[in-house]
This record gives sequence, structure tokens and C-alpha cells, in this order.
Amino acid sequence: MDENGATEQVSSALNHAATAALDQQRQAREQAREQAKDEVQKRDLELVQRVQHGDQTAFEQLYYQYQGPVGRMVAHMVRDPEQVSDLLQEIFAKAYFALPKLDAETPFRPWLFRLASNHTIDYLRRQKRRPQVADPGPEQEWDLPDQSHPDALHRVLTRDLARKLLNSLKPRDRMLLVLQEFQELSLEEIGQIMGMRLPAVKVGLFRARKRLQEHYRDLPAKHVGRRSR
Amino acid sequence: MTQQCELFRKWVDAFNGEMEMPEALRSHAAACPPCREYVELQRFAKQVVQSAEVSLPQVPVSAVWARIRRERELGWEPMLWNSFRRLVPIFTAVTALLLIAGGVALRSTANQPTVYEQAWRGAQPGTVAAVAAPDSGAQTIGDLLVSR
Repeated sequence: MDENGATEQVSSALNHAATAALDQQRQAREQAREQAKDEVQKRDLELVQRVQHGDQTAFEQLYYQYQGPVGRMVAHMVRDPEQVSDLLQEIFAKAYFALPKLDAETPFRPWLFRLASNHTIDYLRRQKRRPQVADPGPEQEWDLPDQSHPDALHRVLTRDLARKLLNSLKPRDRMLLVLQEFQELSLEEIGQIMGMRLPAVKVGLFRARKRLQEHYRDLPAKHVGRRSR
Repeated sequence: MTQQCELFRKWVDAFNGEMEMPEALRSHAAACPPCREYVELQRFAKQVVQSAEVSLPQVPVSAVWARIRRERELGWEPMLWNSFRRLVPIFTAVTALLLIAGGVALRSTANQPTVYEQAWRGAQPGTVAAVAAPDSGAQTIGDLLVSR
């Protein structure tokens, strides 16, 4: 075997070792997430069963547990804090009425997020059908980071700009992105919440991200000269 | 998509920007434009969601109980009605389809000849067909016989 052949073999072996190590790392990460998910499910199941036997404090415990994550999800979808508060109450009241019918096989967390996501998307659709009275006026111009910079997309975005970008997406796309950012939710759980299969979740997420970037590029900029398309 | 691309995307999905990318994956991204785009889009979306910081309203649990009581007092849950409302357009469409189908069926039945008309048309010339509607008021056999 010549020297080049030997070098190639060593490089290929190293490559395989690196690939295997990376895959192990990923699998360990997914296992840890699964384990955490199982623990949460176990805890939730106990509380759900207590609620089903009429224990109101168990329902309150579920509320304290999920008020934050569900509230954050709703707040990312709906701007008006008063509406967020109303929707949050409606979601938990709806969950309370539906809990007696929840069977032990259905995990509570994705079930609650699904209920919350459907309720919020329904609300947004109803809002969209209502005639808009206020004139939005001319579109605001944004001071955008210089996109010719290789790291431009990763610079700090202002809160208003980020909100505008998120709101430019369809509710389902926005919901997918918002759910993805809840670290404890796996792609499988997002699929359960949105009623989608895993490949559809991946494709949906990719498209939503792509649209977000396109909307960012289409924003009217104050300093057109600084932007590159 | 190569096996390397698959591994790259699985890793990126599993860690979602929580961990610095290992050198092997960084060099793959540098050499593979679709994977580079994949991870850049993910970072950008993450940054947008995180920058769109939201203020969470404080909703005490008593407000949720009050809502539950209100729904109960109403006797039926308007929120369940809201869920049902989504089905209203489907019900309307199905009802409209049934009405149209019923109308078409009735019309085609109405255009069919009666047994008397069929007997009259089917009779050969020179033969005699007995045709008389039950309410024709025929009194004699002569009234019933009609030459074709």
C-alpha cells in the first residue's frame, strides 16, 4: 500500500470515528430528553387522575406548572396582553372541562399544548375575518443590519422587528417556530401538538424559517445602500 | 442528501443551537451549501423568536376558577360552541349538497312517463289498449277502450 492510500485509510477511519461519536452524542441527548419527558408525564398523569377524582388543588398545580409555557406560547402569537390573559383563562377552563375525558394513555403536556394551539389559531382566524377599522398608515422602514456581512443574520434584532417578522408568518408557521423554541418539546411532541407526522414537522419548520428569512429580506430598509439581496 | 448531511441535520435538530457545533460538523457545513443554509435558517429563526420577547400577564388561578364558574352558570359552554362552530360550514355544505341531490332525483322521477303513457306508447297500431286512469270517471268498457 502506498503512502497516499494509507493516509486515505487513516483519514476515513478517523472520519468514521468522528461520525460515530457525534451520533452517540446526539443519541445521548435524545435519550436524556426522553427520560425527562417520561418523568414529566408520570408527574402529570398523577395530577390528572387526582383532578378526575375531584381534587381541585391538583388542577391548580397543573395550572402553575403550565401557565408560564402556555402563556409564553400564546403571547408569541397574540400581541395584546389583555387578550393573552383572556385566552389563557379560556384555555385552562376548556382543559378543566375536557380533563374528565382524558385517558391515561394520552400524555397531558402535548394534549394541553394542542388544545392551546388550536384555541389560539382559531382566535387569530376569527380576528382576521373581522373588518379592520384602523388605517395602518405607510409601512415603517427598518434599520436593518448590513446583510452583506457574513454574520448579518445573527446580529441582534430589535424586539419590534422580530415581532413584525413573526407576525408576517401564517399562524401555523408561527406556531411551529414558537413551539420549536420551547427546548423541552421534541419534534415528535411538536408533531403531536400540531397533528403532523415527524417528516411533515421537519419540512414545515424548514419552510417557516425560509419564509421568515424571505420576509426579512423584503422589509423596507432605511438604508437601502447597506442591504444586499 | 448524503449520510453526512443526514447526520449533520439530525445533530442540529437534536441540539437546536444549545451546544457549540463540533469541528467535524463545521467543516461539513463549510463544504455543503444546503446544510449551511439549514443551520443558518435555524439560527436566524431562533434569534427572531427569542428577540420577540414577550411580557407575560399575571393571571391568578382565581381568574381561571371564575371563568370556569361563569361557563358552568351559562349551562352550556360557549367555548365548546366555538369548537363546534368550526364544523358549521361543513354542515352547511353537506345540507346544500343533499338538497341539490334530492331536487335532481325528484325532477328525474317527475319526467318519467306514467304506466298509462307507457301502455299507450307500447301498443301496436290497430290493437286496443285499455287505458284509463283510476280517476278518469270511465263508466263502461267502451269508455275504457281506446283505439291506437
